[in-house]
Amino acid sequence: MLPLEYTMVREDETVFGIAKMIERDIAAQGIPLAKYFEMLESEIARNPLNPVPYAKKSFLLQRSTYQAVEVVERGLKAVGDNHLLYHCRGMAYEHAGQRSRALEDFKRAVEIYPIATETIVTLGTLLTRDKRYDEAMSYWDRLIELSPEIFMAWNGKAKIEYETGDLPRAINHQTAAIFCNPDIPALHENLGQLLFAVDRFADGLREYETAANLGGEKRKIASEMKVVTKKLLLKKRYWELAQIYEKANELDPGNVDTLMGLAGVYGGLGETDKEIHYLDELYSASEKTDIVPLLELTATALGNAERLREAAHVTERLYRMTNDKSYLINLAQMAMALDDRSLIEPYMAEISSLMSQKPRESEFKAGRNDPCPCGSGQKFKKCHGSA
Amino acid sequence: MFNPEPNLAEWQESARELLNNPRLTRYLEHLDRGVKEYRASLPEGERPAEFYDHRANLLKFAEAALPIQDESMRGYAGHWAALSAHHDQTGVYKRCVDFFQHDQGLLVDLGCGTGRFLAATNTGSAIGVDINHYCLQAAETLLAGKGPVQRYSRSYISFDPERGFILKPYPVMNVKLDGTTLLLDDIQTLHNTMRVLYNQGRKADMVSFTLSGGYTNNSPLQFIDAINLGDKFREEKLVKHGEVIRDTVISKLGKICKSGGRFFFAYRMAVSENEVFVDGHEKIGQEMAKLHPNIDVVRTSSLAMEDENGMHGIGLDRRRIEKDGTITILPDSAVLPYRLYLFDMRLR
Repeated sequence: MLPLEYTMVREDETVFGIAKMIERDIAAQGIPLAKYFEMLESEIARNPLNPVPYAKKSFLLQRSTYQAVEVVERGLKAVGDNHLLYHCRGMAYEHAGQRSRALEDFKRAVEIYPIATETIVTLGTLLTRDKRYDEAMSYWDRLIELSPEIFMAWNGKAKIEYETGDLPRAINHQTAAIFCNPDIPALHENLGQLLFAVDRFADGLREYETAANLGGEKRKIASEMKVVTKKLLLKKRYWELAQIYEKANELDPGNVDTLMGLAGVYGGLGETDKEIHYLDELYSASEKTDIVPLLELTATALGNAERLREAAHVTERLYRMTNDKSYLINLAQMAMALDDRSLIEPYMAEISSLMSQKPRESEFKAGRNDPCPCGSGQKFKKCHGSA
Repeated sequence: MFNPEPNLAEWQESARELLNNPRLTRYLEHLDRGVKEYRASLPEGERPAEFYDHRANLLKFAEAALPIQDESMRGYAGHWAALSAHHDQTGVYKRCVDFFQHDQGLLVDLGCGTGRFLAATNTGSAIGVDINHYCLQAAETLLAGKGPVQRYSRSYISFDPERGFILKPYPVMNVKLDGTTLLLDDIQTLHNTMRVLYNQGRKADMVSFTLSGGYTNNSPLQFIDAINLGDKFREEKLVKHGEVIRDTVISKLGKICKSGGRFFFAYRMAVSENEVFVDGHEKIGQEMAKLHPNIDVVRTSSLAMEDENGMHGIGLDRRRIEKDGTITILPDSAVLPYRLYLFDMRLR
């Protein structure tokens, strides 16, 4: 039971309020920091019992731990126990990596002032990071007791529940965080992650989409969505995989990983048209990156799987990317095997020119993927070509 | 009629704790600055001799007012139990339910009183919300035969700078929403309702707010008026309590009801045009839709209501809204014919 409402907090009683006041003072009056410190010191001299100037000064000095702590201690001596000052010293300790001292100060601040919402949030966050889940949970619950409309409390609970494997509760509480503030993309991303974790892929995708529509970073969202793909691949859930990759491709078009995933998944589903479509996209995307070896592997794999037409497409792309004539020779061989001249129609001039050149013995060069002329049975590139 | 409730003792203890809290003392001093400045501005001989101690006065007042408040709430619950039973016998609740044609799902009944509307519905699961613990006790008895009922009705005194001293529900969160849950909550914040719903990661499918309206002298927040420091709320409450509550509920609907969810609103009032009482439910519905962009008014209707005055129910004054917004209560106030206006709405 909390005796006072959190709405009772005045601006000069919160660290967030202090930060706003500093911003107003400095920005509005254009005062240099050194001058501002002088002003704060004269305020302290005028009224040493007011905690606000001590808090302002230590807030500004929080990255210089020793100085910030010195200011706070001066304040505590003059003012007595004050939640603002403990919070400020906690921040300074936290910046210096002294977590246990920081936690001690934050806890003291909440003891003195049980409606200090931002200190409660800080405690919940730090304790969660330290995996001290029971303690952290008690602070999130206290925040909900103060007001169920603070999204951080529900979000904090959901994070702990996710970490401890209580996924149904985590989903409920992440949803509650969104009820409180539906416009924060990260909350929808978190919910998407949770829904994926319980195999509710359609719902999860909707949340990721909402996050993107709200201005979340699309590339990051797409990459988060793909975390689950390995698990789905092992379970051979190609349909769900396809949906996830499609959404990822929509959010971050042309991503090579996504396109490879899409091509692979549609291959698995036997949807050849889509597979080829995404392979094509993969090739055009790959022009921007150095993935020649990858494409060579793909062409070889397709060739070995007797998917010669697709292998020919890859080889054609390799030629266009590298201008390496060996690919053209491979392409011509594939066209012959497929009995399809149209595959080499655009390159007839180059092929004729290649054919008309009488190679000197010393100049003979096999295509990288051709059988090695030494007769070893290996590819040229793996045998004499590797030298 | 009612069993003793532990709330009065809780109120007294929490009021004492609150008024001895140094933070509140400082806050009261801050609020009292105007009084002190005024006193200081008086000529020396005219200044009151006694020290003005707001905190001590409030403490004395709270000690005296809290038992009266408890009695007032018990009285209100008794009156409302009788009145709502009468309305039930005359078919008012059944006609409301027939009009609303509710679906299956979770219903939150705001201002559930003694539970008559909930008793007439059959929605699967429901939360009845009221600030009056005696009303919730009566609702628990009434609904016991309908299925599982759980009641959470402890409250204490807290302080909000905007609203002054308030009755605050003990926070409740881990509630299984099977059957009917009766929940003490402040309709101005709906925080307990949110806690219970949000903990389940859900909002209500339907919200009802029935048989509100009118001006009642039995307001369960009566004592808070007496020690209220929030002037804004006090003025609004005295002038147009019903409207404030109605607008607050509608503006907060999105917090507790899902988008596209249904809102059943039954409001008691008399409407006159040129001194003639009319049934203008369609027009009122249109005006409400204009006033509240978060709702769509789907259907409207109204029922003629019996006069409640003889049963200590609502008495409608004849009022005139002046150009400057003030309300004048006309001298020929008498019992007016009022109707129950029914609105079937959807939350956008």
